[in-house]
Amino acid sequence: MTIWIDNRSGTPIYDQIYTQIRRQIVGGELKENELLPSIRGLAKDLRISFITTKRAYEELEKEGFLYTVPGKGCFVAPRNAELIREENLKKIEAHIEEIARLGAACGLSREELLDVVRFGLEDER
Amino acid sequence: MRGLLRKEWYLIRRHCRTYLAVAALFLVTSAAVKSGGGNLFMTFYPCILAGIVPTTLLAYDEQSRWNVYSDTLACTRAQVVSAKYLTGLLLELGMILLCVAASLFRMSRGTAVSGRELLLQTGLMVLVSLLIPVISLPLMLRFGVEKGRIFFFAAVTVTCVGSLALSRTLLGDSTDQIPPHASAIAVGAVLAGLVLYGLSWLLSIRLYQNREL
Amino acid sequence: MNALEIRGLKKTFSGFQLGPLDLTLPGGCILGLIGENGAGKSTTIKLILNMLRRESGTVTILGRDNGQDLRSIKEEVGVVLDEVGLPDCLTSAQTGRVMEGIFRQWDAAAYASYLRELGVPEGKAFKEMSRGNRMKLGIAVALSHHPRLLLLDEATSGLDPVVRDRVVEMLADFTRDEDHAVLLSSHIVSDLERICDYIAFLHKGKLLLCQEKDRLLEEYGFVHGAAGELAAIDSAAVLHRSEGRYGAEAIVLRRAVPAGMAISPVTVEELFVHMVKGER
Repeated sequence: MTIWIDNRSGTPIYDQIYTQIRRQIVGGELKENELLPSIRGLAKDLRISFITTKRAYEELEKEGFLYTVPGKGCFVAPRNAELIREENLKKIEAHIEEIARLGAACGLSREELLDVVRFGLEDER
Repeated sequence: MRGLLRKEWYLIRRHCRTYLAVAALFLVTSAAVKSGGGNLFMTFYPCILAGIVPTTLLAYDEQSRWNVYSDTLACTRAQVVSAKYLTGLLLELGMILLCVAASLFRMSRGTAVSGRELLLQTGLMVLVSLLIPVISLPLMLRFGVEKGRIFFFAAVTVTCVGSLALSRTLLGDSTDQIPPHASAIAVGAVLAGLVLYGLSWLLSIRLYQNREL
Repeated sequence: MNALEIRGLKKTFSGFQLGPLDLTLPGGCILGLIGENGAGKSTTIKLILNMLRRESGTVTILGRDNGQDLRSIKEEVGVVLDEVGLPDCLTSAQTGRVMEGIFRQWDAAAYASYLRELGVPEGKAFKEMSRGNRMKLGIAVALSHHPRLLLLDEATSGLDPVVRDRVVEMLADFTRDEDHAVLLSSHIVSDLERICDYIAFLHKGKLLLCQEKDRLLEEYGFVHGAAGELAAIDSAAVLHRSEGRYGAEAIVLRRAVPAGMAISPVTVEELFVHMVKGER
C-alpha cells in the first residue's frame, strides 16, 4: 500500500488517506480481503494522529470499501460492480464539469457543446 | 534507595577527595607522633570532616538541581534525605574506627595515652562530630544551602566552643586528669550522639517533605 | 482508562493564578500543551507530580490518585523537565547504574540502545555535555524504565531539528501501544503538530481550549482580502483580525464565512497566536 501525505495542501489529512486507499482498492492494487494496517500502526508509521486514520477508516467502512473483524483488524471489502459503476460515474461527472468550464471559457453555447460531444461519441464507434 | 546511595558515593569519590586526603594526613600524623598527652582534636579531626560530607553533598545537589530532578524519579523525599544521613553515618563509623586504630597504634608505641583516656576521647568526639550534621542538615534542608550555610558556620563554632568547654568540664584544666567515670561518660556521649542523629533524621524528613522547590 | 485526569486544579502565586484547570488525557493519546513562556505549563506538570502543593482540585494518574503512594505511580511515569538535574560529575553509564537502583523496572539494554540512537556521548561528565546532549540523556532515562505515561516539559527545545525529528519518532513508537500516553508541553509547536491527537492551549494560567487536533483545524480557517470584505463576517466568529497595508487577514470559524470567500487552512501555531491576541 502506498500513502503519501501532503502537509502543504489544503486537503485535510484524513481525506487524503481516504482518497488514496479508496483509489487503490478500486484500482485493484489492494486485493479483496487483504488485511489493512491497523489504525494505530498506520498512524504511527505516518507520524500522524490515530484519530485521523480512525476517521479515514470509518469513512471507508461507511462507504463499503472495508470491513472490520473484531480482534483481527480491517480488511478490504470484496469489490462489487455497483461500487465500480458509481466510481466511474463520479469520474464522468467530474469530466463533464471540466468540459462545461472549458466550453464557457471559449464561448461555446450549450447547443454547440452538445454537438461536439455527439461528434466525439460517434468517433468512438 | 540503593541508587541514591550509589549517587552519593559517586559524588564523594569525585568531590571529597580533598577531605579524604586531609583525613589520611591527620591519621598518619597522629599515629606517628610520639609526644605525650592526648590531643583530642588532632587525633579525631577526620571524624569532623566526615561530619561535613553530608552537607557538602547537599550543596552539590542544590547546585546541579538534583533536588528538583529527584522529585520526578521513583524515590520519595524521605529516601533522598535518608541517603544523606545514612551516608554520613557510614562515613562517621568508618572514620571513628580508623581514628581509634590510629590511637591504638600510637598507644602501642608507648605514649602517655591510657585506655580510659582513649575511650573518653572517642566518646566525646563521636558526639561532637555527629553534632555537625545533626544541626546543619535540617537547617539546610529547610532553608536551602545558602541560608543554611550561615547556620552551619554557627553550628561549627558552637561545636568547637562546646567541645572545648566539654573537655574542660569533663577532663578538668589538665588533660592528664581522667575523671573516674570516664567510660560512663563515653558511652553516654555516644548514645546521646546517636539519639540526636536519629531525631535530626526524622526532623529533616518532615521538613523536606513540606518544602516546595 | 484515562492516563491523566485533572479536575479543578488550582494554585495561586503572587501575581499569577493557575487554574482552575480541567484536563483529560485519554489512554493511548498524545496531548500537546501549548503556551507562551510563563503561561503555567511547567507549573501544571509540577502540580501533576505533586512537586508543588495544589490549593484545590484532584489529579488522577493512570487511575490512581496522586496523593496516594506517589512513589509507585512514578515508577510508571517518565518525566523530562526543561532542565535535567543530574550531578555534574556523572557520566551516562554511571547515571544508568544510579537509575537501576531507583526504578524497579529499569531496562539497562533499552537505556544503552536509546543512548546510542540519540547519540549521547559516552564517558563524558554531565557538566561537559551540551544542553542538547543533556536533554537527550534525560529522555533516554525517562524512556528506560517501562513507563506508561510520559510527561515532557519543553523537552525538545534546545535540540537540533534532526534530533527533534528522532524524538518525535520515538514518541510515535511509544504510543503504538494503546496503554501508553504522552503529555507534551512546548512553545515550539511545529514538530508536534502532526503527531498530537489532542491540543490544549494554556494562556496566563487558563486553559483556552482542549480539543481533538483534527476538529480544531477544521473548525477554524484563514481568510484574507480587503478590509471591507472581512467586515462581512460576524465578529463573534473572528478570533483575531489584523489589517496591513495590502489588506486584512483574520482567523475565523469556518462556518461563519460567507460562501464564495476563500478559506485557507490554519496551523495550530497560527491559531494559538491569534487566540492569544484576541484575548488581549
